[in-house]
Amino acid sequence: MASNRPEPAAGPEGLPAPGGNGSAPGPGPEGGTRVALQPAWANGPSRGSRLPGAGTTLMERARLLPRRGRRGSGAGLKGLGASAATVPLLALVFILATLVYEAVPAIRLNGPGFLTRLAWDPGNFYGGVSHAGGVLHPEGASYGALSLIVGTLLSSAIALVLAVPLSVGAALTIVERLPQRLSGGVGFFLEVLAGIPSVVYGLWGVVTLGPLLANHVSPFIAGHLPDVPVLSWFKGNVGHGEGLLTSGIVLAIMVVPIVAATTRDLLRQVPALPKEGATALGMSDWEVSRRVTLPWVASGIVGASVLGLARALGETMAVAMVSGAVVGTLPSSIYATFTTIAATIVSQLDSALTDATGFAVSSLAEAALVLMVITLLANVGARILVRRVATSGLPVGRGV
Amino acid sequence: MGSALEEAAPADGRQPGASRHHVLRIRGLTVGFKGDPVLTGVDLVFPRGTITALIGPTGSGKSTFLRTLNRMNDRVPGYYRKGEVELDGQSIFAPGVQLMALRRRVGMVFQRPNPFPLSIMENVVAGVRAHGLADRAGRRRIAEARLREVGLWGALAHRLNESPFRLSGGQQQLLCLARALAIGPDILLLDEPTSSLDPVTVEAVEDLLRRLTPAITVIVVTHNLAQAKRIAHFTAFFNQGRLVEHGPTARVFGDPSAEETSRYVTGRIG
Repeated sequence: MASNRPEPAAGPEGLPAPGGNGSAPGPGPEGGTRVALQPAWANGPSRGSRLPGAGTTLMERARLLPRRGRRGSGAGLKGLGASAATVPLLALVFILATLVYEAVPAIRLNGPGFLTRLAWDPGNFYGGVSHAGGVLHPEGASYGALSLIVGTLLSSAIALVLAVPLSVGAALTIVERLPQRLSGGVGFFLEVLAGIPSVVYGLWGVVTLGPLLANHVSPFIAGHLPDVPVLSWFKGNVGHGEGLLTSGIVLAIMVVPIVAATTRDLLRQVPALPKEGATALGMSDWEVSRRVTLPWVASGIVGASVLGLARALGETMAVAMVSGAVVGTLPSSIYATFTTIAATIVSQLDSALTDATGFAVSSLAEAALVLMVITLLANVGARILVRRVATSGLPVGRGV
Repeated sequence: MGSALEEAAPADGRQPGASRHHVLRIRGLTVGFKGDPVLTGVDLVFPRGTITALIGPTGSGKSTFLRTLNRMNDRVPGYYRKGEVELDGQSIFAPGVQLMALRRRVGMVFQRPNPFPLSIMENVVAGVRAHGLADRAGRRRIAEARLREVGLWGALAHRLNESPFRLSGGQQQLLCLARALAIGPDILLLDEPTSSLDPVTVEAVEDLLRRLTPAITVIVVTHNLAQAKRIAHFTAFFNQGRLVEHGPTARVFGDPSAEETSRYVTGRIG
């Protein structure tokens, strides 16, 4: 927090008496109590007791405030700012530490195979307990998160592929094409869309979108694609409406408001001058967007997409409802049922708590840790990408 | 006024060359944005291959006039227009006129440099690309030729893939000039192109404009009267939305017929 910046709200107490004494222009509301205009450091603890801004004239406010007079409040704010800044860091460290602590038994027993094994077998909670590998666990327990990881990545990828072009197009339309009145309205709906609870999306996915896809859309796609190896992903059994495609679409709808709203705000920052220059060169609106406006915000769009990706990776409820929640198999087509890390955690936590050895919960914690790492990697990747895109060097601080 | 020059009849095809003196002819042009007109009843001709300076106090309507010539005002809310602008005898406001084609022939350079967020090379050929004028090799040739023309090639030849935003303001403006020239316009409109530049670059731009004629007709809005005297064959003086006086630069500055002009060019108003 910039606590030392002089702000008018801090009040007139810090003002030194202008030009010696009594030459202050205009009688303030306080009448003769010019004491208040003495330097604050001479004023003692009484300062700050009056309403900020009271009794200032324009000229008084226009004077530059001496730093010394503001130190007290500055230090207080600084302390507040410092602690406020560390809270998120501490929270992150604390959550991570707890998670790692919980996950240690699972990490020890599952080993690196956790990332590569398909089988997700909690063992028999009511059978014997084993102590093999130094970790207490139900007999036969063996956890492999590959299907969850693949499901998480695939569904998020589908969501992004659908959502990013749509969002950028929507943002361009809102900012560049629609008249002012309409663009405000559309923007409002975008924000409403962002505020819908995910469980509502999930319900809609199960009740409406899933059946619609399974009965009408998916059979059509699967039936009309040529028999080419690459496209075999879109052929085959179209299922019953729960699976990758439905989840990807539901996630996309959840991601669109995030990416579109961010992109819209970015597009509003693009200066008019280069766009005008492009128009004057005889470019069409589309060419102006493609050659000037979009390149101008390219790195920002990457950032916005990662915001959306983070949402999709971590989305729990909606995916748990429309994924089919099938653990332990890799999807063979875009219509196949699957599950994600987040969806598995929420759907299995209840039964995992009945594992008296605590190993099931520990394995879920390990899965959660993997999800955090994936999200972190996505963010780091985005930063690298942003830097690469941004090497085109936009004018920073030139006020163009 | 240039009316002494006899012109060929309009609308007999567009052969460039000596057959026609005036590339642009403005008749009774009135322009405004809602409310009162910004520009009233302007009649003006621009002889082919010359430099015309538009001078006048701020708010006199010069820039609005300039922006009418390539129809940049079309989208401004409340914009209205009466009168005609004829490019080689054809109205630029006729229903069939393609804005993109018009702006290819009538290029524009702005007061402040406005490079695109593309590489230097792509900046120069952005218009060439948009109009599909050349293939890859052709674009490279055009970029080199135009950068040489504006005197940037020596400094930028090895930096073609870099961002234009790291260039100095003067270099950016020269780049924008190269970009405008790359599509081969017949007319170049410049709106105070040197007002934000250092003296050395100003001189480079003025040199360039002189070299561009007679191949290109140049119309330049300037607040710098000395610049108008240095480079312009003709000068048009605008004041309060009217064209007050137009003629050969030497006459407008040396022997103005209107009192307003005389006061402006001698620095007593504006």
